[in-house]
Amino acid sequence: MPSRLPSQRERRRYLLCRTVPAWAEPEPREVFHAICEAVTTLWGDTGAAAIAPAVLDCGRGYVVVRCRRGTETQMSAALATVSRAGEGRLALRQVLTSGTLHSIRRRMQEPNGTSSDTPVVVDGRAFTARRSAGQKVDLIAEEKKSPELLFFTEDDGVVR
Amino acid sequence: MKGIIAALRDKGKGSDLLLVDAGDQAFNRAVISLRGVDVLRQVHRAPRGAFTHVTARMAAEHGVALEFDLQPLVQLRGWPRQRVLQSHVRLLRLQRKYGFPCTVATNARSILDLRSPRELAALARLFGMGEEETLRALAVPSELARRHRGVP
Repeated sequence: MPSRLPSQRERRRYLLCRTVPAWAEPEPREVFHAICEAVTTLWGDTGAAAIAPAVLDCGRGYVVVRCRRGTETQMSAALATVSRAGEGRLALRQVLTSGTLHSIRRRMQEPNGTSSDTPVVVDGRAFTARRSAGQKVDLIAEEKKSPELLFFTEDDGVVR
Repeated sequence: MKGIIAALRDKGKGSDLLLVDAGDQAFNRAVISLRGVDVLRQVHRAPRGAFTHVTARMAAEHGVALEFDLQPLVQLRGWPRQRVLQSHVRLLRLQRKYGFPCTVATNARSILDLRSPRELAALARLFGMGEEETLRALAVPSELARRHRGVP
């Protein structure tokens, strides 16, 4: 089937969202179902059909969502109501809205303040430090059965 | 009511804000007329008719802000969310008519419940609040705190 001319193609908008918590690795299918449920409950079936939500990419802390042009505001409101995907809790922070996937991918490649896991020892106990975007450092105890999550703040420099 | 009066007594001259959960109409009128109450919240959970045009005028006269809780819009689905939206639409109409201050809140208990100003504006648009109104509402708590501190 020959591809259509750019002027004849349907206009789309792409929304780049950051997943919260940053270390969450939700299944793309679960994210799609969560977004579809949010859109449908908020705007109804006819609204959802007009928006035509789709998840194009999911991973590395980002989700790329597609919608029809002119429905970005409805899509933004629906994305703000996503609070879980599958069994786990999840929030989607909108970062960028664009008409091309090129700019979305370029933004995804920019450093976002996250760093890879680094081992840390506090009071003789081993932790994995995960620095998220912002000023928060999470320390996750390296225990298989009951991993403990501690919060290490910049303000006081102590483990809480 | 005794608890609120005790809280008002304990409230020093610092920057503390006193937020009160709304109740029935008589309770709301009594609370708004108390000097020192800053924000009336959870009005959407109060009985129907608890916040009328009389209460709205009193809130405007006493400078008591009304909170628009956006958490139910995120957490609820179906008719409970529709009820909250109806309540917010009605309150927003009163706010525009009488001009009492208002705030928007997510009542977040974790980072997962937090929303950015852009997302808050998108949620507030669901009940007709414009982006500028939302940003102004976000600044209200700090303005109230500044009023208590006596900073011009």
